[in-house]
Amino acid sequence: MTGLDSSTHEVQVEANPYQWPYNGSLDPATTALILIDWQADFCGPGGYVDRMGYDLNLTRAGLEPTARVLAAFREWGAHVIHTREGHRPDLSDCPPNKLWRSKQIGAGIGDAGPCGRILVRGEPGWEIVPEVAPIEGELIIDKPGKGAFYATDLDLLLRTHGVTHIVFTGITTDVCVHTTMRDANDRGYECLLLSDCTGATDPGNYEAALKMVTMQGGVFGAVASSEALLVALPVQVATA
Amino acid sequence: MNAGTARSEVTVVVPATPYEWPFHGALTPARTALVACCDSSWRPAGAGAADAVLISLAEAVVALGGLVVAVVATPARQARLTGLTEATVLGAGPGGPAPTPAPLFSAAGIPTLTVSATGVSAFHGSPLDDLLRMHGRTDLLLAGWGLEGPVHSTLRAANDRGYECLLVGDASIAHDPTLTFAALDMVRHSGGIFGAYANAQEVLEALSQIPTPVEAS
Repeated sequence: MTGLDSSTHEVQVEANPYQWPYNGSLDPATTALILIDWQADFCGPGGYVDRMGYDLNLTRAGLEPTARVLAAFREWGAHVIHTREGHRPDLSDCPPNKLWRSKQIGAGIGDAGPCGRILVRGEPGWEIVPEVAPIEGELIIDKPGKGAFYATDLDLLLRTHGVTHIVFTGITTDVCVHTTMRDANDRGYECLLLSDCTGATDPGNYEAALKMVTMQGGVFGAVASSEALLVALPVQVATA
Repeated sequence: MNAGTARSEVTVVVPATPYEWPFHGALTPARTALVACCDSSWRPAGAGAADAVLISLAEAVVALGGLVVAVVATPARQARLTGLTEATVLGAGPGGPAPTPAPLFSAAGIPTLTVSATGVSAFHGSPLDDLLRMHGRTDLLLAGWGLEGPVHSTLRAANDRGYECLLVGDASIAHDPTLTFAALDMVRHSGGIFGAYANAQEVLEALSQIPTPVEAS
């Protein structure tokens, strides 16, 4: 028997506030890695977040560990799903209050910028950055909102692929990642957030967002480091 | 310009953070609903002050023709961990009814639309979205028990659906008081990523400037 026989390898992650998942061992057939909005608009120079004046180092901090986890999930054979926030070029799927607020802060959705039109599908700023770019066969969800379930086919895809457990990475922690994780939890998915594979525009809100997951015995699931997940997986991965 | 500017009526906004709410420039009771959230498994200790604020807000909203929604939530995870069911929440269990805002409003004689939800978000497993549309409600005042839990999940779901949201901080109670600041601050970023937030007093003062339906007729 090889040491990498996943049929006998118990995959459980040392997480907070409980060993994850709550129900036994992880199986690559039923586990998905979701990478939320690793787009130039959120972590690249000249994109939406940069235009609002936030520190890009905060949203880029999780890229390197996320790339390691992505490589491990590909090796393990689990599901990989990427999401992108963006609107149709005519902005007909952008709620008027969302559009108004973005213009108020000087980063109007649809306005021209160094990365093309802000938060518009097909523009350079909407593309996923090269460090964690999708490869052939990986699912991509285009979403008009913060949550990846609203007005998308994510729930249908997870069900048809038999996914019951979700590992979250992405940006930003308190906005798109939290909104999606809360929704996934309400839908009955068992969720884990990787603390070093995510970042926010405000360090205090990043910390608070992690705490909001672990309160009440893990009201939205659990939180772990990428290292805790990687040591649990029955695959060899390059270390940093 | 926005609808309403041609009329002679006073247009009222709430001095909220990070912008005067609502974004369309006119607080309008007929298109406003107060949504009071909870998760039915938790009753905050010492909630009397926030309850009184919530009741005052509900009374003012209803008096002007606004809608008050009380959520009865039985989220799946809490149900699994605690055996919570809708029947036990409504009072069929040994300890009597679970804590929800519905009896609070009922005791104060406030007409309330009660909505059951099966998620932490009041939109999950509930007819809330349909009911709000049917009643023509586009602008939501969000409050309740679990500021960073049920209230925030509902705020996020409402915002993605295009509702214009105002989080009323002091009509809400956090599970963890150390998270109160962040739960409000998260709303403010990026020009109001989920809408805006204000104190109940600011909302009440704005509402007080609007003529009651009887006076206006």
